[in-house]
Amino acid sequence: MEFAQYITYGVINGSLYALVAIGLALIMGIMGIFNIAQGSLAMIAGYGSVLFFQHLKIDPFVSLVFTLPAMFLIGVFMYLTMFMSMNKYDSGQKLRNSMLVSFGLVLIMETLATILWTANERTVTVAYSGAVLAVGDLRIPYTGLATIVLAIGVIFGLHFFLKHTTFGKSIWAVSQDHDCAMLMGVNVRRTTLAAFGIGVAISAFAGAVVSLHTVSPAIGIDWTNKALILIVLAGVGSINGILFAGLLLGIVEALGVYLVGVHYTGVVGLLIFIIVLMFRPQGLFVRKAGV
Amino acid sequence: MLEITGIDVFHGDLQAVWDVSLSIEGKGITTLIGSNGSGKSTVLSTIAGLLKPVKGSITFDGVRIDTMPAHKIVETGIAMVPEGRRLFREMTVLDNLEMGAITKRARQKKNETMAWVLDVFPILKERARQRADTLSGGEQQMLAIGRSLMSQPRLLLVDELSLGLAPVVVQKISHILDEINKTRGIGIFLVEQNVVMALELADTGHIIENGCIVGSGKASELLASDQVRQAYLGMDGE
Ligand SMILES: Nc1ncnc2c1ncn2[C@@H]1O[C@H](COP(=O)(O)OP(=O)(O)OP(=O)(O)O)[C@@H](O)[C@H]1O
Ligand SMILES: [Mg+2]
Repeated sequence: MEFAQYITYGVINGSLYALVAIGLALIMGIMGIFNIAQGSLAMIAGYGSVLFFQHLKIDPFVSLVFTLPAMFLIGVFMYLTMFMSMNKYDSGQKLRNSMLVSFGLVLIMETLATILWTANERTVTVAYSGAVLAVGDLRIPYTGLATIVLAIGVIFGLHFFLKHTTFGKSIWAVSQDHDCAMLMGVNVRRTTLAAFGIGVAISAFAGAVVSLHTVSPAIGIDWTNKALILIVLAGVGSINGILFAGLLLGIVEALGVYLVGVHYTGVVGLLIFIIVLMFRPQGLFVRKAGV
Repeated sequence: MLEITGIDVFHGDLQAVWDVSLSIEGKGITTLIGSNGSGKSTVLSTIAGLLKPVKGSITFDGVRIDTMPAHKIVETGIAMVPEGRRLFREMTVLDNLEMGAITKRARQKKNETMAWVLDVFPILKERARQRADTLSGGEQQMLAIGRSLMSQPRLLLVDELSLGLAPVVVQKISHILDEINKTRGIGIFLVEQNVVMALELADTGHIIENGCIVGSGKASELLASDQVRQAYLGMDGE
């Protein structure tokens, strides 16, 4: 396989990483809540896609009309029962508490998924699963193409929502100055609730794509790991940086495969994670902390 | 128009305001003066609803507001310019102004109000698309005031207008506040450490010390009184 083909797969993987990480970045950047269950939520959403396909023959990209609102409601439920009460703490305490609670959620979701759907790997095989778009010598899987389009669409959509709609601006304002947003007349409780719901709902996009690869209870923590690397690369609070961070990680991993072989992908990712933490702890794509 | 009756306010376990009663007239400018840490901001934040009194009550035109959440209080017509401006620094000047008009009532008249605010502070028009944190201190204060005016308040609470600003700028902005008060009939409640400026601008003044009101009267009389001259003007080096 030639070099450009590796890079193509890197871009596709990177887009999927971005799809998982974007919800985590949003929730962390806007609310200061460290939700490490984001990968597990993508796993749950992935099972949603699998089940819709198995029982009703609904394509994972079509069943998004069900999985998106379902994940939104799960997010709302999580926020109301577990995270809302953390608002009384200062930001450091809130970050730590939310990390601990969501780590518990990772374990709960993994166990729950094993009980409900066994530990076996599942995949959705659609008609276009193996189909590729040939560009010269390059072969781009249609599912990969869809992943890239989704990642770009979600991130730009989110950007537009936050910066150009009234409700999005309220969320953005709350993230900058909670009390002052309240003084303006923003219903901060409702706004943060919705923002958390949206952050979790986004995992449905990741779930749809993941279902075309592999879904098993254990993948949750793996996806969270990738997402965390992206957060560090992009810089905490940066949402736009996530796409570039995802592409960077995907491409670097692909280079690692090309140069040293497939067994070292995980190591390559952790290596740039550590290098960035050492030399540019504020992230690569952040000038100042911000959306 | 605003009636504060015997409020006690705490920060956690620490009581900052003791049995404070104040009455603020809609027509004029009222000021609350006091030194560092005397409780001025606490009183203002309590009116705006960010803090809740454990005792006493606050009514605005007869409606009890101390039980309302802060975002509902804005809708009754009270807007606050917080200490240190607290702009949404990542947002542009225009976005900040728009955030001021986020309530349903204000949103309906957003364009009219915006035109008026930009007329009052023409510099904001020039800076419209700049990020708020690229403005000078004076411009930031104007934006903070403009943003609060966007909610179409009947009472404007201003915390430390003069903070960190050059005297000429303070003079300019206080002149504008005076004009807003006279021409638009928006009541102003100003909290200040800059005693001379505040008492010269205001019609009525109150003095707060250690969380208690220790003096009230016509601003001009307070300015001439021994109480103010000794306690504040001596310290200010006048
Ligand atoms: N968030 C807080 N937590 C604990 N104590 C606080 C808090 N904010 C204020 N205080 C205390 O409450 C008292 C009154 O503070 P407040 O900010 O109301 O004073 P102020 O008159 O506005 O002072 P300044 O002129 O410095 O702005 C002070 O003793 C202060 O230390
Ligand atoms: Mg103060």
